[in-house]
Amino acid sequence: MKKAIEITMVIILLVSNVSCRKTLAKGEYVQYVKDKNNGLNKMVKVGPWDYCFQYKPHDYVILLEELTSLEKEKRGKELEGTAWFNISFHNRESAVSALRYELTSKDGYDKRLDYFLNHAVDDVKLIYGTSDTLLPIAYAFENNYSLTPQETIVVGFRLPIGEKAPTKDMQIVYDDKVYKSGIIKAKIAQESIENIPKIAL
Amino acid sequence: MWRILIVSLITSVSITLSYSLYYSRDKKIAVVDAVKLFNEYNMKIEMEGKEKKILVLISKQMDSINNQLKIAKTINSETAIQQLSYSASEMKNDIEREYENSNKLINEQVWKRLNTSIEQFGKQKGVHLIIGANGMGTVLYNDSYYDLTSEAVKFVNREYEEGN
Repeated sequence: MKKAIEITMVIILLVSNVSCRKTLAKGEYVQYVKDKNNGLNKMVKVGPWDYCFQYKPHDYVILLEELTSLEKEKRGKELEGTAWFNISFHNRESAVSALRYELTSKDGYDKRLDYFLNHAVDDVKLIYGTSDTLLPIAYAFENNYSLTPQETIVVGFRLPIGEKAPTKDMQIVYDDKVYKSGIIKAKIAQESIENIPKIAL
Repeated sequence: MWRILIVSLITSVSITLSYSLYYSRDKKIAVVDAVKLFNEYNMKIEMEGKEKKILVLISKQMDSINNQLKIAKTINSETAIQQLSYSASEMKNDIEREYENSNKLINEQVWKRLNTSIEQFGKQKGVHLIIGANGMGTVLYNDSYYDLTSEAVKFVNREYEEGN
């Protein structure tokens, strides 16, 4: 009898350990999402360039927007069925803004800025699961007016019908046409998505 | 006296042998078939696929001009022959230029990426030197013991598909 209870307890503990997601405080949650070891933030080095792909779970997006509880609910509904990413890049060997890197004319700068504001969206896609290729439904280039060496693209995708939030492997693909880095990919594994903790209330 | 000499000789020989054995084991060397690595790299395959579409499109335009040129020759229209011959020649130059530029770009971009990935591969495998065999006589012979080509291809493709 005693042995049966012990075995049941062990099974319960194991099951609860597997099925229960961790709960973290707000600050810890943000750190968790940003931490490269948790598989939600991927880095690709190409020559002197660092490309950073940050997957942004819905809770993370809402948390950073600092909304009231009523607004949070509304925002949560808006984000349903979408997946969001930040694509950041900077040159390790230069303190100059990526937009100004190796440029000498204003014309060159304007062309590069125009590319990132209006055309780079055509060079981003998301492979969802094994077969769905998703194109962006939202795209924004965070123009920091060359104040920092890092530039960031924010991009959102509509998930296949019936998916409220990502549940499968995702591979984000960016074809860099400016710095001649070629096709850059980063995979956010299903396991990493399943392991995302909850935010403590 | 002789006994001391023999003992010290044996000791020094065994120390030298163990040191050189340890030293050679510690300095790991690998050979990777650079041509196979390049040709089987997913990025190269994808970039070539994209470029092929552009080249096919230009070739189709060229075919269309050549067909028109044939018709012009059949009806013996001097002006049309002259204009179309010029267009065909321009188009041919475009194809050659496009092909040359795309090859250069693919080579440049793929090797930029492969160099970083191979460095990571070497570090992960604890290899101190990776020799790129390219069929040009850099490596005259190596057996499978030193050949890490398959592992390298798998590694670089995983890095490419998944990021770090």
